[in-house]
Amino acid sequence: MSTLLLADLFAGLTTGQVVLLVMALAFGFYMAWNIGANDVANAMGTSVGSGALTLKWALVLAAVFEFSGAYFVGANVSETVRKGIFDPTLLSDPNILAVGMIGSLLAAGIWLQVASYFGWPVSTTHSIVGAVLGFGCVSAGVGAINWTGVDGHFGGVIKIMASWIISPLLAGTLAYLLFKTIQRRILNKPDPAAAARRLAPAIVFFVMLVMVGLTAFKALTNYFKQAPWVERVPAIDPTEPGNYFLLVVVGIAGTVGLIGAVFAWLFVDRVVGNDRAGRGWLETTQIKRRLDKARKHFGRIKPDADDTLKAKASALLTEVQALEKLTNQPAEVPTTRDQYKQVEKIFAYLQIISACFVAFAHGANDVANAIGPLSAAVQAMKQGTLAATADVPAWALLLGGAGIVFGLATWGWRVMQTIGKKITELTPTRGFCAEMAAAMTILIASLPFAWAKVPISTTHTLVGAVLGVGVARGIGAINLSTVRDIAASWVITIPAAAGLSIAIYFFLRAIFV
Amino acid sequence: MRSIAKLFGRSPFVPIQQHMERVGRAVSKGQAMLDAYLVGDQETVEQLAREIDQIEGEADEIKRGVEQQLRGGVFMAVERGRLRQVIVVQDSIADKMQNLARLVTLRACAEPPAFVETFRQFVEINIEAFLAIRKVIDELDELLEAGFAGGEASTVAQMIKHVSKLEGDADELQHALLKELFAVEHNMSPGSFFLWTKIFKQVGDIGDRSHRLGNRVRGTLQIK
Repeated sequence: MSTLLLADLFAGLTTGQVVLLVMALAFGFYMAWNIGANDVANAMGTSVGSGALTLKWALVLAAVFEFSGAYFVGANVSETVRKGIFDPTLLSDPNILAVGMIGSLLAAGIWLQVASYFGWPVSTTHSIVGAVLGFGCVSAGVGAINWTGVDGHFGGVIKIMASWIISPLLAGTLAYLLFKTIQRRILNKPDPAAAARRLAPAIVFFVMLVMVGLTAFKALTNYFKQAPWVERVPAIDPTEPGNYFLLVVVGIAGTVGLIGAVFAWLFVDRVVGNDRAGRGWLETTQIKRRLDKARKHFGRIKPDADDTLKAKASALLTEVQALEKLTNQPAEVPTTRDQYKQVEKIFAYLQIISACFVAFAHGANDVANAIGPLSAAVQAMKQGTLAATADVPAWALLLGGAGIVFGLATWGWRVMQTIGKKITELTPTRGFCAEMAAAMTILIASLPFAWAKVPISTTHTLVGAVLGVGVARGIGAINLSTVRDIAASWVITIPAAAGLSIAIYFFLRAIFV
Repeated sequence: MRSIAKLFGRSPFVPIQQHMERVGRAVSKGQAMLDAYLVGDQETVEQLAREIDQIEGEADEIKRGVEQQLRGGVFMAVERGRLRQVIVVQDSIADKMQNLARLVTLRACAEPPAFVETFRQFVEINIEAFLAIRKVIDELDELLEAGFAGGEASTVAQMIKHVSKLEGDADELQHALLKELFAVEHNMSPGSFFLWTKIFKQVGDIGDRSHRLGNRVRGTLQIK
């Protein structure tokens, strides 16, 4: 296992390699800084905007959850960036790999800087994948690129690119379903505020279950592989440690979820108060609706019934109509406005949880963009071999996490503040749905399954989720030109980052190799 | 990456409500103008007519802005065409007030006509229909919050139903009013007769357009 001692890191390197190592650390950290400075705001910006969180608390929570996501779950995706695009063992010299990976970091960084100068919605993930792809093409050859996956398994570059289309679609679908559910269960109920109060603990339970479950699944995988006591503990099926493992994961997630739900239950009345004002109008409108239905149903009996029944039905119908006339005073305008305000107030707090979830998932997926190439470069130089199996070192995850937090502290808060002011249209109910959908998608993509472990674009996934809420008629207006810009930047980023990375690779190779 | 912030367009409902505020002002000025006309206070009539002209201009301005906003590239919670219809019909109510102002400034009303009581009732009920539909437009925020469905949608549907009822009542009243007008046609100059039928038409159109606006809004609702 690697240590954090700088002296150890630099031991046994040539002068040229020392320079390269310093460059690798610097560019890797710069990339992480970039991610923290620009992307983290997506997660917390809305909660700052709605006033549920002060900027200070948003920063603290974002830092904690970004870092934990990067440190605990970040390794899976880093592996894909490091060796999923092409096989580094095909290179003749470890220094070439180091130079190429450093060049990729630099190229992606430059491209991001240019793009943000012009205001293009470019993805960090797409830039780094494009850069590594470009360098792989010229160093190992186009044939060496893992285009479609090895041994007939679907994978490689095609899989990564497919995930860029699938992830916004999946997030959009999830967001649509989530919003429809909230609509049906809360917003369209006769008493939305009471429905929200009742459901808040269940929602907290669900969020915690998913978040803690997915995290525990990853964090405990390695532990369960090695722990010797697993076989001695009685389980559902002792011969199948997988079962026991899943049980533990679900148990932990369920317990944490229950604790959260209890807190929510205790807390929710304090947030909105428990007033029962404005119920009068509710009853009148409900009575009206019911009478209306009764009249319709009696009307339907008439045409297809026999005579006695018909006579009775029409007598009842007249009675219902008379009753309806009694209530047919002009409807008082109900104060649904206050009801919805209470719902939004409750969701402002639920949104804090979903925002933490996004920060966590974002850290898990995006840290790879910085430390994937970095750890590949360092390992190539340190070990002098091109091992394809080594783990992502813990110090790299630490460095990536720290870089993101640093970016957040130095620049990210500013972006968070601006974004918070700009997206007031994303009310807490909408924000919650979009964030939950995006976070679930991102975290699923970051899991250690063979079909997952893909570097996806967090921003684009969130955009997909917002569109999903829009399709469910939840948002007043969405600028489709932004979606078009995103699609365009997608197409430009790959060749641009690849070209830059190739140029830098040749330049660095001429100096250092 | 600030693309998330760029993703949100301006909500079209805010300007529609602003436009409704102008139309509402024009209608209440219109009512005051008719009152002044009936008592022969032509000076006030002229003054109010000028004010209506100005308000109508402001409303037009907002309407143009909305139409601009509705041009392509934006995905909205309500179909673009439907929103355009809403603002067009809403704007036509302000136009009716302007037409009315033109008519009553043609010449002063020498003495209150025989049907003045029915006429007042007729004005009252048309304005009531308008105020009812104005409440519906004020509910647009809540409709958006509810996603145009569920309890809020049925509440709005009820309100629209109420507008239709008022419009029906106004129609009946207009018929009665015309009868009263024809009863006194021989004591009246052809010019006055002509002018009154014109005025009835404009006033009746307020209720009619309010009803039509209700139907347009109803088209955006999702009711099972």
